[in-house]
Amino acid sequence: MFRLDRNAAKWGNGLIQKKGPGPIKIEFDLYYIYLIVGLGLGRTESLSEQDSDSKELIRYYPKAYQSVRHRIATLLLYCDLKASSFDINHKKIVKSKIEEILSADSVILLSDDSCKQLNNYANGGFEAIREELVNPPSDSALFLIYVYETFFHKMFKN
Amino acid sequence: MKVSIDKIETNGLRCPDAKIVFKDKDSGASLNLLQMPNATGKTTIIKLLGPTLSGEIRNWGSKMIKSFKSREDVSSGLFSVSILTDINKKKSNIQFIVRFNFEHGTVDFTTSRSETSGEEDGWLPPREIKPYITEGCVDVFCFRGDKVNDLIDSNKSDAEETIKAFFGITSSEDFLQSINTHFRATVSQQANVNDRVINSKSNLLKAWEGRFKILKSDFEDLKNSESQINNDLQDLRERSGRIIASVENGAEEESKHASTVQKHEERVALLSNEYWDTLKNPFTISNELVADLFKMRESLEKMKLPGGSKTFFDDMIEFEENCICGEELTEEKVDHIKKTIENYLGDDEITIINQIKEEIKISFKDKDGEENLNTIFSTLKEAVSSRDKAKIDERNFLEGIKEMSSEENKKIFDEYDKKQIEVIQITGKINNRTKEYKPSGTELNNPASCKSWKAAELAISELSDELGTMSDMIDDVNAHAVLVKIITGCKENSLKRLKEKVRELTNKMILQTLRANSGYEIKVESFDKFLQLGWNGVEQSEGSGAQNIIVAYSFVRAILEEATIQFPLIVDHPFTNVDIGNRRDLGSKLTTLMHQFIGFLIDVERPGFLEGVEKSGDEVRYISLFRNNKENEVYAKKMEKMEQDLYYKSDSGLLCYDKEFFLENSMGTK
Repeated sequence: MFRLDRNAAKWGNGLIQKKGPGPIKIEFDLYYIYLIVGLGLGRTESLSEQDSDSKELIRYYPKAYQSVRHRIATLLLYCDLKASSFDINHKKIVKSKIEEILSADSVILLSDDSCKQLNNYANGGFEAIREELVNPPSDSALFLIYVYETFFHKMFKN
Repeated sequence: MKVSIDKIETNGLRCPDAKIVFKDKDSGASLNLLQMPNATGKTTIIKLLGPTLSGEIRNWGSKMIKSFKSREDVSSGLFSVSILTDINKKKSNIQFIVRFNFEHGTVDFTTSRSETSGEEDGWLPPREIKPYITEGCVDVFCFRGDKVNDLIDSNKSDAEETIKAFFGITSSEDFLQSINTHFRATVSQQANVNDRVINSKSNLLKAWEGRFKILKSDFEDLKNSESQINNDLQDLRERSGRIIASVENGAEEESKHASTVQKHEERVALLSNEYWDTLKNPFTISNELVADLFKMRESLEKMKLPGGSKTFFDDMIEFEENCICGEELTEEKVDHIKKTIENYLGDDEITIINQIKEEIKISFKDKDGEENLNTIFSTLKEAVSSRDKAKIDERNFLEGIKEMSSEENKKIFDEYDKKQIEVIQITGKINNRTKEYKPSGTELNNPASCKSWKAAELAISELSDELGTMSDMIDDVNAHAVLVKIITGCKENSLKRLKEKVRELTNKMILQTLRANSGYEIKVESFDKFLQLGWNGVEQSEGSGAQNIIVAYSFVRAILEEATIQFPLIVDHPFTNVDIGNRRDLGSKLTTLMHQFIGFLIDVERPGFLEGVEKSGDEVRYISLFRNNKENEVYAKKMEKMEQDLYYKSDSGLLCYDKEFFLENSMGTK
């Protein structure tokens, strides 16, 4: 299940406008932007699963994200292989990573452990953003611009 | 069934003391135009009209009531509305009378059910029209100019709420709420509490009920405060608007700035959403990433991690005696097969891998991913910068006006700014109180940490169901679930059908009003929470000022037609955002739309509109109302030369029904 650090949720709460014209409408939108920054920078921060520290967002992808579930699984696989410095041509290692990360029994295509790892990446993304930006701006357009200008040139670079 | 406004009487309020008599189609004028100079109390009349008709004014707090006190030294006031009803061909004149006690901040509400009967305490409309003049319904036919935009705003649900109010869906929601409350109370009181677990659950449920009451009551208080703050804000907006209008071209400049900022805001919203949609494909972030992923894909291809066959061999080892080649499956052969298929992925994993490979391939072929994202980003950044510039320009313009103002007027601007902040703060608090989610985990065991009455209500429902199931009330739980399902199903089906019917009728009405082949064609393409405008399947977020108004009026007419009831349409600032040509056109058609239309007109709406109205001949009642003071002596003298039935004079007000007087004297910016 997708979980988000309570501080991360609180920090970005003002950016969520359920009925507003901006794009960030649900907590998962916030999770997603944290996640891509975390994956892009290859940064993880261990997320406590205690209810007092983190909150359960949702057990499956919201409708708007159903179509990107394979891509997110791909990025997790890619980042994990990269982080472990494993040889991508090593058949046994690749197979074991695929089996470790992917799970056809899960609607989110990820095993429980790899979903926890995904949450750690989202948490890492949040920490990276917070280190640069003490308080979020008042509107989501400014926030998206800030994230792009601060992080995108560093993300997914070898 | 038909209802018209016959007369409005005011005394001791923030508007002149007056008796304004209106006409309708039956009495010879379906269009009533009322002009009042600024600061005469137009807003006072409009604000009192709806709550008096719906009886809602009886629930007002003392602060709100006192805010309507005249600037003269009075301790009491009066506002009354007489309506003419035609129900099953029986005509009646009903009067709702509100007496204000400004010392105590209270009102007495009485109703006179016919011209000959005396006053009775309370709000007593005829049974037949009662469901249509509730708070939500009155807003349908007695609406502010900004309601036009609320109906088509994708972030608002005013259109759906209107249908709910007018056709009893809101009542069914209230009914459902009562059922839920009763069920929860029953479970809470009757569940068997001998068991320790049940006992603890029951205590938790009680704690949540306590929390719910606190949060709900706090929410009601916040809503009352919000209403008061919004009233104050509107007052301050009007007052600051008058200061701006007193500067040469002030009103036009202000409107230009506001419209520029709004245009830029809309563009920023559009581009942020476009950027966000693109970003939802994370592969667009970096071409380098896609190139790397493509290498990973190639490695996966080379490794030939087959699927399908693993299941086949697994099944063969498990269930068959012989191999596919026909030879016996010896232990040695089984070991060999097991070792070989260890390197194979299962069917399910391979399906995911194949999809992953396909998506990488598509992204690799689309070499423009990153470039597209960057282009949209640059456009968004430019739009944000233009918006911020427009906001600064608007701020500078207002600051300039403020600088030129007197100390007293500067205070009005400052108070207006403060009030805007208060609105944001109270809206935030109300949003917190109404957040809809099911408390779980630690929060479920700690009701005090919950800030939303809706969440508290969901927790109560869940605990009630749980408690009912755990105790001896399983039948009650099931029966409650069935009942809720039936009522919810009926409600949703009815709402869906009503919306579609009203949408079709609205489009029919729009066609009756819009000039044929004018290039102004528009219709309601779909109706979920709001009216989605468009034409020929192409959706648009809004129409021109004229189109929006036509859609709004057509929507109201459609609702009234569907409800087979004729009400007056009472509109504040009916044509502010309409260009002169369309004002002329609409003006000529207004008498054909409703059996009674009452428009509170301001100066800027006169050009074009009055020319159009002129074509309607005698079917128009022209009303001018202004204060009886030194400044207006010249008007008083003109009036006194007229026939007595053409004017009304009180200590504080002058009222004139003369057409020529209305046309000759533009009073809005006095």
